[in-house]
Amino acid sequence: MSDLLVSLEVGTHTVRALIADVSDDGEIHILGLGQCESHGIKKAEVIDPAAAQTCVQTALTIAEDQANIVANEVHLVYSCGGIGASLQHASVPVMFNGVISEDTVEDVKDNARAVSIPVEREIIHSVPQHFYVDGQPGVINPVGMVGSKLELDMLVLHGETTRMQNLVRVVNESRADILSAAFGGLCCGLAVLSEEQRKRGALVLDLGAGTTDFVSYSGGVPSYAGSIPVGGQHVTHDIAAGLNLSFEQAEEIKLKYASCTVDLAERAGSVTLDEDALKPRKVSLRDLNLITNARMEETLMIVRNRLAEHNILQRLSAGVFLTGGGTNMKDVLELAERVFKTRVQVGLPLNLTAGEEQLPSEAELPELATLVGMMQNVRLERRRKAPSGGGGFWPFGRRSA
Amino acid sequence: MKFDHAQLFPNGLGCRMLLVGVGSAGCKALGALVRHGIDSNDPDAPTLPDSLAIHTDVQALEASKAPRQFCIGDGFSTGGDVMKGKACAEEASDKLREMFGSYRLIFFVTGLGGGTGNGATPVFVQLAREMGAFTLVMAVMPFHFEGERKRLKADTGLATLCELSDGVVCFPNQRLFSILEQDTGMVEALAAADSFLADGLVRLWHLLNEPGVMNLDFADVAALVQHSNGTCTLASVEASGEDRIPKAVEAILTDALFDRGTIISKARAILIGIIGGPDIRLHEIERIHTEIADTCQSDVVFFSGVTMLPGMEDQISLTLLASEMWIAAPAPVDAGGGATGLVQESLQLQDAPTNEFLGTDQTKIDGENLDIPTYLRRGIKLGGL
Repeated sequence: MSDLLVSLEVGTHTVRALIADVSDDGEIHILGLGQCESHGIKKAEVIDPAAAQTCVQTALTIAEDQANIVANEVHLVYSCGGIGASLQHASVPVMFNGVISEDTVEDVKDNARAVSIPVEREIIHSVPQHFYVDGQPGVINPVGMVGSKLELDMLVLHGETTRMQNLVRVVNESRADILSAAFGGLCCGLAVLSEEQRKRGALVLDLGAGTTDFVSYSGGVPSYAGSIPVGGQHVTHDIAAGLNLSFEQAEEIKLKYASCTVDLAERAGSVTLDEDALKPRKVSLRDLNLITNARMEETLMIVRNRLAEHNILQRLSAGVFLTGGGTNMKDVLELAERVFKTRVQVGLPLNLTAGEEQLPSEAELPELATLVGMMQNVRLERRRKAPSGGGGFWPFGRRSA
Repeated sequence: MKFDHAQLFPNGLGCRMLLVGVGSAGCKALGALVRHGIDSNDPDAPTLPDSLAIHTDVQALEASKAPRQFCIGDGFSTGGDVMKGKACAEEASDKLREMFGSYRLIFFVTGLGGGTGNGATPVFVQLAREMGAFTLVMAVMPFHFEGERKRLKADTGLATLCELSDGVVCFPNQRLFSILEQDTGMVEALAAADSFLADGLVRLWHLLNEPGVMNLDFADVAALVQHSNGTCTLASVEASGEDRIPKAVEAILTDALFDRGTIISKARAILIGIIGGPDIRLHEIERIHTEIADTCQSDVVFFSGVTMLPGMEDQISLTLLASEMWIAAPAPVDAGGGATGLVQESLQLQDAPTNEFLGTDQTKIDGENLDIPTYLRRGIKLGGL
């Protein structure tokens, strides 16, 4: 049995639509991939709805043509809304004959969700982590167990309502209905990590153009997640400012030459832009790398510090995985290894197949993690809701758990 | 090696000096110096310099017990905000111009990394220079445990001060770690740093003001720092007993603040200040100079001073100021070493083009506007082609 799914990401650099066949056991077969250079999106937020809408329509159309089907219903991946995280703990007494029922579990989840957040925000994900039955930790499914008290650790993510609604409006106006939506950071984790890696503990970092999103796993469940509104475009902007270039020129040399590490001992070289122009521009390679390194290191350190605050750095034995466009930056793995002091790899979506024409290039694969992860999320949600349901890992749907 | 045989007559400080403590570390050091002067029963104790303690935190100011206190801002401290420290200092410019008025030499003592030290001190130094005074800054650099953000701010502040002032004497707290007990708590470590700083300041003051057999004065310190092309580091040791000379020399050559002596061996200029009792002998002075010179570069420039104090019989105090090319310490997380370097360009945060992100909320994390390029905020110097 397989499902035909469409996932959509309105990124700051690229809008992408993925159409694929998703089998029950998680095999994802790409039927069509549509990409369009993004306009009207900055730091993952919609600032020009009309422009963004056009991009969404284009991406969907391209994907539809490749897959030869109509894609009017999408599952949306997002990073907008200034996403924040909160670790909650709740407890409920177990009623009646001391057997924990589905209702008890729902009760404790409701309690955990009762986190006080500012009025302009709403909860986008509430991810149950571990249950405790009478103090016994690490319980995955307490239904049917006997006890007097049920507790729950829960990760709650929240975002700014208006900003998310703006994105929803853009997608709806471009003739697509949104069946479900999820935070991109969480999706990446589902795409690139194996079950073992999720158990051992791992961090997935999505280095996007507008934001840097992350999710950490421990003991099989997400331990923390978040979104930093700094991304690849900040690197480009820094380069433009520092080397006195236009944004486009800066983007060009960033992609071609910039390195995330700086070797101060190396003799400074230079690179030439606009070689064919009347006045080609020469810029210092050392300066380029100093600028790039400063920004990339700072951004990675912000993530590291957030994780350190919640004692997560010690629980990443499977290491760090990078996804998103930023993964293609020169020496980014090395920089990340220095910042996180653990092994860093490129995160590739697992169980991905495609026909020859639809096969993505190796460089593109890390950028598909969010879209692929969204599909895994949908599959798991549907499986959980199936009558036989229950047990194992809980995925995250919109405002449900 | 050269001895400065110039004056045979004691030569007190020819011009007036003002000692200014800025921020918590500076005000505390000032308070300690003043207390030392007051406690000393020695009738020949040097007269205290005119001093001024400046802070944004009125409570900390009072606690320092410095004789002359001046609070800038609303009295509730900057909360680590460098821009706020700068604003408070600028607001008080007129008053400060009055206070700095007649002094030819102004010696600032400040701890870098916080809001007042980093923000206000450059403003004061600039002001002092505009009034024609010679400015020296003693900058205390924070411990690594005080956090990376603080360390980065301190490095940036140090570079700004190097550029603005006539010279900077550096006091790197982190080097004290090697002499503190393994399990020293944070509070104790900070208290120890305060006491080392005050100690160093007191000794330097003695050296500069005591009429001596061989005189050192502020001009020598000024010449030293100008030779440094960077910063200087200060350390002092004391020894007593028969073998006090070799003991003192060994202690200073392996002092923690000099990174166990590596600073001395690499220094371009060194100032040696010796304080001994009336029983000090010429051959002892010569021995000290020889042993120190042996560990230095052959072309190092020496400044020397010897002072005799009654009551210092059988004791010797050695103070060394060594020039040091300050390199910002690599981040404890060893992030490539490329992110922070010496800075010679002033921060122009207001000019940073931010219209790229127009239409979105400013990305503010921990009070910093992250839309401004990182290399600008960290003060990284771009070399050009």
